[in-house]
Amino acid sequence: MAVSMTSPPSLFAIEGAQLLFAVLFAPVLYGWIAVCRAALSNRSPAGILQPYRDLRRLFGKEILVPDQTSFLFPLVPIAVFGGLAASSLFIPFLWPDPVLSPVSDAIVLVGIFSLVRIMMAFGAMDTGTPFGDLGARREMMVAFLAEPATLMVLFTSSLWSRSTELPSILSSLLSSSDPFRPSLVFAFLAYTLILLGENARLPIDNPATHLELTMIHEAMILEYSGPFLALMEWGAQLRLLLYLLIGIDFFLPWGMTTQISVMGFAAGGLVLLAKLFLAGSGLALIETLFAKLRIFRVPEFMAMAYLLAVMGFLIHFVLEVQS
Amino acid sequence: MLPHASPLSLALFMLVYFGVTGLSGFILLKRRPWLQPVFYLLLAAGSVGTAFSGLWGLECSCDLRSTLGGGLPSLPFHVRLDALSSFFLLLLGGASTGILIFSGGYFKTLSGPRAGAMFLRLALFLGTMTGVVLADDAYLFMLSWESMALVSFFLVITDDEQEEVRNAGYLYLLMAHLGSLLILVAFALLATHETSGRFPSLSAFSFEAMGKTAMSPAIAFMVFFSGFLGFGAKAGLLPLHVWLPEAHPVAPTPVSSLLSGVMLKTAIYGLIRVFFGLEGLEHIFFQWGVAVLLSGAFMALFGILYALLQSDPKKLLAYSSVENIGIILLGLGLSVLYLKKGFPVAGVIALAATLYHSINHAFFKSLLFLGAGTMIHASGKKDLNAMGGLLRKMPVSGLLVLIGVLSISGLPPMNGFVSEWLLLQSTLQVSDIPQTLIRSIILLGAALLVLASALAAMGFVKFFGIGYLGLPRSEGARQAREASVPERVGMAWLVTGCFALGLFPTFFLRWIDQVIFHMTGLSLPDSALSSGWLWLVPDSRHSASYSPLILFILLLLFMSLGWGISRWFGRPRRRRTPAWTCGYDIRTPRMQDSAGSFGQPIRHFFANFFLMKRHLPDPEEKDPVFELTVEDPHWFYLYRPILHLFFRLASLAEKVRTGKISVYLIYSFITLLLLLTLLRWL
Amino acid sequence: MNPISPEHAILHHLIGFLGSGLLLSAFAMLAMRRMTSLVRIFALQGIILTISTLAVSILSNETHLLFSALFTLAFKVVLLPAILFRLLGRLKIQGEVEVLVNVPSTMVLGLGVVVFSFTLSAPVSEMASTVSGGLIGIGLSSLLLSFLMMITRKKALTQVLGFLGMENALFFSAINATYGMPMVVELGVAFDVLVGTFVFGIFFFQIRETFESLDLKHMDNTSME
Repeated sequence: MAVSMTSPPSLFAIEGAQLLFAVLFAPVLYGWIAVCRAALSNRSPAGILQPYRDLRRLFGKEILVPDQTSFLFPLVPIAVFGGLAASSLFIPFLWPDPVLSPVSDAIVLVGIFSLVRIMMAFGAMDTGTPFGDLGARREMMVAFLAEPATLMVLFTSSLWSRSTELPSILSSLLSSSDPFRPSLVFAFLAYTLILLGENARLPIDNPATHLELTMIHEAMILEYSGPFLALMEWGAQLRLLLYLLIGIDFFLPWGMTTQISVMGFAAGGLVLLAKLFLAGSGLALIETLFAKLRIFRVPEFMAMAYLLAVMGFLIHFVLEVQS
Repeated sequence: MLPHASPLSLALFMLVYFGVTGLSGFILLKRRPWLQPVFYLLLAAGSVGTAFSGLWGLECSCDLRSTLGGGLPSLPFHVRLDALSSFFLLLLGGASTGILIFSGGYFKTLSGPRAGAMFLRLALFLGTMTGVVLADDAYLFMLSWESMALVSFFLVITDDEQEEVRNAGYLYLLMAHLGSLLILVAFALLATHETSGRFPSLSAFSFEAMGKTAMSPAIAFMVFFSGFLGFGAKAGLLPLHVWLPEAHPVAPTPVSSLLSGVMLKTAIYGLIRVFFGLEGLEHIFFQWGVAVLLSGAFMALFGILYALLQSDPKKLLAYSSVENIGIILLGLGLSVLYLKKGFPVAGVIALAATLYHSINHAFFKSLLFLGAGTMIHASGKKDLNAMGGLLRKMPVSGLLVLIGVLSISGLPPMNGFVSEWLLLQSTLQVSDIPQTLIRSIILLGAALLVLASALAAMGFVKFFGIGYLGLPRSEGARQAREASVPERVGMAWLVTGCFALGLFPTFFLRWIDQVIFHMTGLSLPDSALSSGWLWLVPDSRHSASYSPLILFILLLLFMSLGWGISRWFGRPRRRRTPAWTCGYDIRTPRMQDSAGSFGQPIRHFFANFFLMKRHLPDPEEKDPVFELTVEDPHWFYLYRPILHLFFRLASLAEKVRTGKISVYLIYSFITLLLLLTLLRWL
Repeated sequence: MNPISPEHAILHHLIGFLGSGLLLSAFAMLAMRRMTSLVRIFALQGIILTISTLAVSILSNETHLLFSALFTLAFKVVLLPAILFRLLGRLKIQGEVEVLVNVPSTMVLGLGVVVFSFTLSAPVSEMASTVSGGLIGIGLSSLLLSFLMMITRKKALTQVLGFLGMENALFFSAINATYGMPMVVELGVAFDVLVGTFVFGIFFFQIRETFESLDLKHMDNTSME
């Protein structure tokens, strides 16, 4: 890496900053998307900080645990939040080479997301309610194609750097002089589809729905209440942010600071915020334009993402590897 | 015999120990079946000894050969303990220890004679498997291999009063013999070649002599594929897998656990021994590796798709074994392909992943089979639809199964993930290969691998979610009781293995490196072993690294952080209430997903894969029944036509049989004449 | 490859980029379920072709390619989509594409086709002296994908679109492999396609008047009668 060597304490401080940024900014991003959606459909928005108010309200309530649930039920929200918060240490977004990122490469990250999802499915099935089962089944249905598709996108990007380490991928993307990367077009499209599917966004799932039969993600957390629900919601917001951050690393990596200095971090942080707000408005636009898919069409949608990602992989060798 | 203590003499001693313990158990348990836990512990100690001999062999990087008395004239029994044998001894001993401890609790309801017989068979089964791994000539190998098949056949048909069990047993025996025949062909080809078609002297059948033959590509081809199919029949290679989902569910739980967790690996051992040891890489073409890779990839997808539709937990696990063997074969094919194409680093990583997945599968699959046994035992039915809510009734064994589920689903930081990660790392080295077609094949293999592992996660959410979570679906499940102490201890042993394999991969990789060096003369890149035990680095630090232990600690740390947040911000008050279910006040167990409905999206999406018969009730029917049966297409398209053909041939042959003795004598006469002419010509 | 100037390198990359766009659009045609989206994608293909023809003409200094680009723009981006939209309106076809083989299976088949044509064109690409080698594989696979669409979709109009897609892919390959066909041939083909579309249009009305449907299965037995 072209990063100057620095002392370990400051590197760990950067990790702390990454963690704080991710955890604290995730609700704001959710709020921003809601504001954009409201503006696009001529409603008056509730404000960018609304998710925070919701979280505070939920934390103030008591916890109701459905009878006949096992010890897994209270464990799930903690695992969901903990797993996702831990992931924020491994993704470079404030600093191109986080000190803990060797712990986990991109494949491991996908594995952690999968772990979180499976825990959520278990939490839903533990309640023994029809809606919980329905949500878990549908979530796994989206996931069985979305997860391999994510991995294929990662592979496509990793072919450039011959590495699955996010910092290496990042640095090779930044140092490449080639402005058009056809394989990344495929990967980008696939990743957009995955992002929508994995984060329960509109053509797949409606995060604002109140109709149980159309739910996916919401159906899984119906039985959670109070601080547990708050952790689940916060986890969902965190997951969206992490997916966007990984996407930014792959497709829009420019603008990150390579010097440890206040100015550098301020500039890099501003660029990052701009990118995130832009991506958030893009998501809001997609969600306003598209109607929700029939549930049977969802696997087709995700299969498209999977195949696009595989195509990107193939295209890389045909067009981009010149002997 | 052997003059001094060595891993080989220890392993041979354990072989004898299995026999002696088995016999004494057989005699004593008849009268005193309550001694079972003690005897199974003794047997488990033998397994620990076997595992230890393997460990010792790997640590001292020994390659010990010896001959024993007995055997054929000019072919005494050869035994050998090299790195490969040691590794598989470790696998065998490690996994079977847990299973044997478990057996002590599981079989406690058996009557005396049955308990004794079961004990003897299990001991012999272990002994024969050890023999397979140690054998160093074709005769001893086939002897152990066939006795292993025979003993396991008797183990499968333990409950032989049921017709289903007998049928499954015969099917298994048939497939086992087909496989043995092909293996014999491979061995014969390997041994005869030198002497140009003539039957060779017996001494050519020692593995040492067989490994030295030079051969033509045609012979090499035949050796490769008869070995592949022969061992494949044991490992569940498509389309020879049909015995697997029949035989594993009907056998008693510890037996299915041994079959799936351990015995399938002897086939993998055989494949590696034949490909890399006896035949040698120099005689193998890379295209054959492609064939192995593709069949593995297809097996993985097929196996997990069928697993997702099963409602019998053991059948689900059996199909998932097909998937896992598919992953192992994929790795094996990939490593042959890479090594032959001249990419040692990628090839060695693929081979390491293959071996790693073998030992992983031995641990988590044995564990899950044991878990399925406790589930069936607790609910009284071999049907996920009769279970549910078991986690509240059996929290400890449930938690152990949960860890197994996380392992087999390939989730970090557990062990299944490590081998899949290594395999993916090796497929990513694909950019080095110049040919477009081969590159595409490897890429599609990787794509299928990740698809299969994502589907596996869904399948095991079903397994655990329907079986252990929710409301109990039957009276049996409502009355379920926690498994006995030996059962839980046995499972805990296997869970410990899963954790060790998952969190400290570098130790195992160092041993695997011994095996790879011994078989191919290559070894893992330096960085893989010198990065310290904390870091798993297949190639270089720049390209990929993973530290399961740190990840595990971080996950625990952040989970306690989440717990802290919910405590600190939230009011600690917690109240149990009826479930909300959106205000519907009826909540019965039947409103939950059944095993079938959880797999419905898969059935819908992959409809072309399945042979489905659906019965939809008429609107006017009095007792409407919805029925859906899914059949394995291999039965329909392959085995049934063969069966019909046989019946046709048999009825044709029937015409020859007239019943008159003079006609029969004419047949004999003509045969004699033909044979004599043949002799004249030759 | 001989040394090239930086601007040319960028053009090379641009053409590769557009080629993958063409492949993507051919793939998207397989996945789309609405007729109008199909026509829009066809127009998009026209734009891709126009830009890549322009790029090739700059790269190779062949002025006649400029005219080709203009023709492409006129025919494939403006005229043909307009005709097709008109047809859709007149025939009152709004609904979904009807399929013989379901969409995911078609896409898996499509993936197989792509692998096949990449493999097939690999040796050809190494010999190609002109622009980027892999583009021949892209052209071939787009062509076969359009063919696949003709096979697996039911309605006559989808067949026309598949046919037009095949022509686009052919045009793309020709431009990149040999810097375009002679002008006369190109013009001829363009007019052929145009006339073909007209004929198809008239034909559709005839079919519908006779069978009251545009489903191709009604035409299966025509030779028997």
